Amino acid sequence: MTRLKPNLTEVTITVNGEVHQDLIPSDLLLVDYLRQYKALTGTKKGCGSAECGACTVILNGRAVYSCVMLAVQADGMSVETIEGVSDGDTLHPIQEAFLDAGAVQCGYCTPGFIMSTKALLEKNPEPEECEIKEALGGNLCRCTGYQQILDAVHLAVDRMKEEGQQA
Amino acid sequence: MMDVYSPKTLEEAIRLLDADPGLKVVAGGTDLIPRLNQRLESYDKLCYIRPYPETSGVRTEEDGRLFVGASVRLNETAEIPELAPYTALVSAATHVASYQIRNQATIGGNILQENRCMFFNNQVHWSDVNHCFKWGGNKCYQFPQSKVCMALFQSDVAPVLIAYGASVRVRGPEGEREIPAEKLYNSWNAKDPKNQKSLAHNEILTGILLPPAEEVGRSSYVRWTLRGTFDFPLLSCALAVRTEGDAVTRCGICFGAAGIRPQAFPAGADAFTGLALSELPAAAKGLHAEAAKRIQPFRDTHLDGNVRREKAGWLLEAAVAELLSPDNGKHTWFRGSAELMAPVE
Ligand SMILES: Cc1cc2nc3c(=O)[nH]c(=O)nc-3n(C[C@@H](O)[C@@H](O)[C@H](O)COP(=O)(O)OP(=O)(O)OC[C@H]3O[C@@H](n4cnc5c(N)ncnc54)[C@H](O)[C@@H]3O)c2cc1C
Ligand code: FES
Ligand code: FES
Repeated sequence: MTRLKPNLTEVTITVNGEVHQDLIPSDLLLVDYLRQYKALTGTKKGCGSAECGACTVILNGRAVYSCVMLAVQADGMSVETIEGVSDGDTLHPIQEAFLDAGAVQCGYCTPGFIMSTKALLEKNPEPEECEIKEALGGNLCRCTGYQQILDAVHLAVDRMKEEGQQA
Repeated sequence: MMDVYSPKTLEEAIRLLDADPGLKVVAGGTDLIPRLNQRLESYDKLCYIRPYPETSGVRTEEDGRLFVGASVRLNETAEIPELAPYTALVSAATHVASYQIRNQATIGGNILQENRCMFFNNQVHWSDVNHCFKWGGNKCYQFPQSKVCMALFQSDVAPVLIAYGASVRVRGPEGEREIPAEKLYNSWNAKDPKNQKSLAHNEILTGILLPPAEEVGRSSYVRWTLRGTFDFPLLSCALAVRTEGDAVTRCGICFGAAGIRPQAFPAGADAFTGLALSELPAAAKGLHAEAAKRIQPFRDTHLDGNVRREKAGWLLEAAVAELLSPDNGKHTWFRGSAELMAPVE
């Protein structure tokens, strides 16, 4: 049965450090909340079925797929998207490393990869190769062949260590 | 368009479910929401069950069993010190799907996940033309002669619970009850082919009850997949072995992705009991034919109907090798190499 009026519900979600209170349809997906209600279109919607990682955001410190999560499931929580990663026009070292290592081609997968990398490095600033592969295994890239992405993570780790910077 | 309720307490959630037979529970959402997005399934109303105090964390019960809340996320199992002795459980939970899914998915949702099949889960264009039981039709495309849906149950965690002899706790309007894990999958019938678990509509799984770690003993879990991430197991095997001295005094074996429910292998467990640990590899070699009998010859996009069955003994051997390995549970994943994929003579 198609209903014309959605059941609206109020959510309070901290998005990139800013608290947002919104009245939204209760069945809204988190990815659609971010893209349509917050105009944060950096987070991509690829498969919509938890099989590609393009929609990865960081929820309370953990990388999750925003395409298979309802916005109400993030109520009261803190979401970080690709838009929150850089400091104004200054790119985050992970973003710089992705550019420098040639880890970005069409770029559709990149926001997801960067969010997964950031969640990993926040917890584990010097991950082993197998830990990187595990944390990024849930992100697919159709263009690069992955080696450049692994190189980018290593480069980011090295640079951040050198500069004593935290993810 | 769906209405999603998010009750603030477990009691309220149970009340809502009790009052409305059309309400569908969602926890982490990683099993259900992809199917909703793909339009393979639809509901007017969902009930989002939050991590309530009654369904969260782990605690030791008065009788020594360990209660693991249904809301515990799969990746969290590796961070909870009390779970460290349950090697197979942590290994199974931390190899499900992908890293992101494991950050969202609950352990309760894992053992209650829907069975899958390459026909129904293919895509709506196919399913809406070729109506199988799940789509309201009267045919199973896997086993056309079958009177019920024969879709495969691929939970990684469930076979471990059965190998452990664990139970689950559910709560409904009348209060709580316990169900032995192997009985959770006993209510298969043709009338309602979706989510055939022994839970009433108005009952919520609150957690899992693990026997005390010393009763479980050593345990291992191996899963056979083609890729290191994303893949459901093609077949998996959980093994738990309690020893006195060097002799096995209790053993539990259960295969996953082996049929419509996890397939315990009591003949194998009996064969192992009384042996020394060092005798298990040879004993497993001799159990190939018996193990194969436990596996339904289910076909998917990777395997034909019989390979799954033929690989059971090989997987049991792998579970024994993993159990005896000093790195038990530490392997990043268990993969089918080209050699292991070769047909069994
Ligand atoms: C790409 C992909 C790969 C996957 N790979 C694997 C894999 O390798 N191994 C594996 O085991 N699984 C796999 N899964 C399934 C994965 O969704 C589950 O493992 C996950 O644990 C489900 O938990 P959830 O909390 O997200 O479940 P949900 O989707 O929230 O719920 C699952 C089902 O359980 C019911 N339910 C949930 N919690 C309760 C409760 N407390 N009481 C009553 N009913 C409840 C829901 O109504 C629903 O029917 C995969 C899924 C995807 C999309
Ligand atoms: S869009 Fe979410 S995983 Fe592909
Ligand atoms: S850069 Fe194109 S998909 Fe990764």
